[in-house]
Amino acid sequence: MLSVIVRRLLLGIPNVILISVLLFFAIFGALGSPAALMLGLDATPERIAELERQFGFDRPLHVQYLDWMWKALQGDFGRSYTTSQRVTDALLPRLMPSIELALLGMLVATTCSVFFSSITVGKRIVRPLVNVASLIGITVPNFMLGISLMYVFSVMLGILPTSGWAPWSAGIGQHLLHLILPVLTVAAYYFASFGLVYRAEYRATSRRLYIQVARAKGLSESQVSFRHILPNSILPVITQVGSSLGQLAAGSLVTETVFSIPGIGTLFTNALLSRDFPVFLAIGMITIVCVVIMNLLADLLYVVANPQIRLD
Amino acid sequence: MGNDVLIEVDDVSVTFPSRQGLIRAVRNVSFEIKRGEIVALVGESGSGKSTTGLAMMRLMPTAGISGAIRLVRKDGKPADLLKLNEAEVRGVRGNDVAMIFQEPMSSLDPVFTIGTQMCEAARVHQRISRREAYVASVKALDAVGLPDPEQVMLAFQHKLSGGMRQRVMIAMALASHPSLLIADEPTTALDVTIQAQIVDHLKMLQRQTGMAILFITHNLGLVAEIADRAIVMYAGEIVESGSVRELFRRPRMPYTAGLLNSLPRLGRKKDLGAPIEPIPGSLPSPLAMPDGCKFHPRCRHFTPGLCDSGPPTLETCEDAHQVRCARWRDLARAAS
Amino acid sequence: MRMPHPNVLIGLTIVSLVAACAIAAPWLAPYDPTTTSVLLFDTPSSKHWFGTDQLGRDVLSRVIHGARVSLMIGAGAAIVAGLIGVPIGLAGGYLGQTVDLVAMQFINLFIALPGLVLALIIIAMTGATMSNIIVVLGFVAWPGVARLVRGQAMSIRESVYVEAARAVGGGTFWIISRHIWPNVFRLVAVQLATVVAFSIFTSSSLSFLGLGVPPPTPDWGGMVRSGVDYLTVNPFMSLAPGGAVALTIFGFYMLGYREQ
Repeated sequence: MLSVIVRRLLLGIPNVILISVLLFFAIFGALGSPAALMLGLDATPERIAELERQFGFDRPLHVQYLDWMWKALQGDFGRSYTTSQRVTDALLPRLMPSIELALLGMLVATTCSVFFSSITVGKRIVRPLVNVASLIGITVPNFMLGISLMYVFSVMLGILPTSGWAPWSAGIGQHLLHLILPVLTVAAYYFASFGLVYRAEYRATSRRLYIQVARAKGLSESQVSFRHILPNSILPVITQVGSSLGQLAAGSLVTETVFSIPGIGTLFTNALLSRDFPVFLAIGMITIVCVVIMNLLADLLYVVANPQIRLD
Repeated sequence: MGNDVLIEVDDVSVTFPSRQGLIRAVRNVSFEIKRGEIVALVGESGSGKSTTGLAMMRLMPTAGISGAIRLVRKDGKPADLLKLNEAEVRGVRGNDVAMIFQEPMSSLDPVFTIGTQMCEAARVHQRISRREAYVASVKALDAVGLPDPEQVMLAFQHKLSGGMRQRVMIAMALASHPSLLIADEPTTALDVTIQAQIVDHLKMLQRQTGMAILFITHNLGLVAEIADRAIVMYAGEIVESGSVRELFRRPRMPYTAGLLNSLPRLGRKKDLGAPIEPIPGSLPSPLAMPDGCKFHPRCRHFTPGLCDSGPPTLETCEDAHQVRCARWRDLARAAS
Repeated sequence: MRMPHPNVLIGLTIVSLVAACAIAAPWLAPYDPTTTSVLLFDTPSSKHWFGTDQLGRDVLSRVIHGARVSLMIGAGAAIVAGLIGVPIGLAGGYLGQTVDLVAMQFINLFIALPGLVLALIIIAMTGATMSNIIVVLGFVAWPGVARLVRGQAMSIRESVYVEAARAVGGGTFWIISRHIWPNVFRLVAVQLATVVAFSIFTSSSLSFLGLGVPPPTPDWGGMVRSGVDYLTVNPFMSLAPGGAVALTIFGFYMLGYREQ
């Protein structure tokens, strides 16, 4: 089994490198001078050249890449063009909100989709509700969902706040209250996609003989569903969770914007709009690395959790 | 119900909805099993024998079942299984009536240990602690002949062979000391040598516990080994039933005779070299059942006008020996 | 021909409605979408069904006109995704071995990437024009299409009538175009509906974030963004275009529905 892990890890690293190279070259290579873009239309060639020298854009591309990569591995992502702050200093305080949002969103999505798809009591009511909720999650984009929720609960009913962030210092109650709508917004899509995967696997597992055997023992439908069908059907969901978490590494961009959450997502968007390369390059790279790592972990988890492979 | 009777299947029919209409997999089947009896339910694949077994456990939620299945429960009171609600049926499954299935390879949950599943079976119907369940399970595994039962308790199902898994299934089925064990082709998927061992263990367990067994099979050799009585099914109906000895010596229904003739037989010199005669043709499709006797298209003694008009009824020839054939009297006279 | 699933019919109805809005916008919309007026933030009335926005423009008309942008982007992205994904998928699935290995590596590489993030970066760098957005979104969607096509091509490759075609001496290209493609096409057409849905999903998110087609072109995502601040005044500024996005995505998703 160790060999499997090592093999997958080794395959993952060249992927990361390849993607980072592609990204870097795409941004700096294919798009002309960043300095010109930064300065705008009224830039003179002299100003452009001067800026290029200042930032080292006149060096050959691969040199720039290696230099950036070397510094990045040490945690130095350069300084923001707009605020001159060290990128790492700008990133760190914003990690917490994004991570919280991502983890809570995933948690809610996973538990709700699995639980409500496994329920046997009251299936006639629950199943249509689950289908409707899944449809909403898949077709309504985050921003629309977030705004609708905000409208209903904050504007019309006034029971929830419009901003998604209250610092921990304001008390855990307040903190969680503010997070309810953003977490729901993030969770909606994943509730739908996890549910789809889970229910497909659930249907396949239900046809297995050991489920019939469990019924023959005298177990209730509910016990059969949660004790035997669930554990055998949950693996594909876990894999999905892994890869989805990777995607949320850039923060849930849209949700953070809608609810004014000070996370990585809003930092990323602002950096994009103001052409702040070091910042969004750093975030982009980190996201990609996270995605590859999370996918890898999800794959490994699948291998490990399967008792048959584990003990070979 | 007679005083010795444990379960009485009374005029039970099982119907499935399908795109082409309703399929009657089991038609007006009636029989009874006494306490401690071993009854074999015999027939080809598709004869309705497995369906009958599943219906007795109420394990077919999509089918329509008519008739009555009267069971004397552990508290002595009879109950009609077909009239019980879900919760009551659960009280019967695994408790009064248990079942083991044909495929030991997929009968156990792959993510839990044997021990977990054994203890689960033990604690469904009995209020015992985990410790007590563990001890009882180890003893049960030992009773079915598994070496090193404590190791087996810790193992996952893929570490065990087919024969071992089926023994585990038997032990698990017996966890709550059922009055009736329904065994649906329990040895079909196993090696012949293992088959014999399993059958021996079943006989021994039956002697020890005094439970009744409904042994569903298509293998007449096994019927001879284990059963006291046999019920032969064809196309969803009972066509003959009686003691195993009677059936084997004097089969009254041509189908039964045909089944016995298609068995290879060792022993007497004149049997060596005798041709094995399989029954020609195959089971009719449930959507296109022949008129009259359902076996007549394949029957050597088919008489037009008699066998293909009205359906033959089940008649009693000798005591406890019933047959469904319009010509059984002439055939019996011709044979003697 | 068998009656298609009711879901597909629902999708077809919705998509036709949206397409009608896109094509016939100037005739369907009651007002010009760019005309300002002094009736700022008017709440829904008989004159303005969804009210007016912060510049006095009629929201309903802007929503109808917005269909154009969304459909163009959606359709464009689907075409790009198909143009890239189908050949790669066919090549990998049918030719197999080394070609397939390379194709699979490519596909796997790109399929795991977070589409929105990549799309954002590239569009931020290259500028948000219609064609850029279409190309980028098509580029994000092609691996999914390629994977589907590849799988289908592989299974058809093994089937009997391809064997027969090969025995008769059919060349690779001929076999692909005459035997494999027609079967793959049906699947791809359905998948492309999903690609359109996804592209509209992503492009409206992009314009919500400020990286979509620049104003004054009425664009649903951008409209939602500008309406956020005025939820208490005229919520339809956001809810109407947002609802249009959701409805359109729903329509295309239903169109691409396959019985499990």
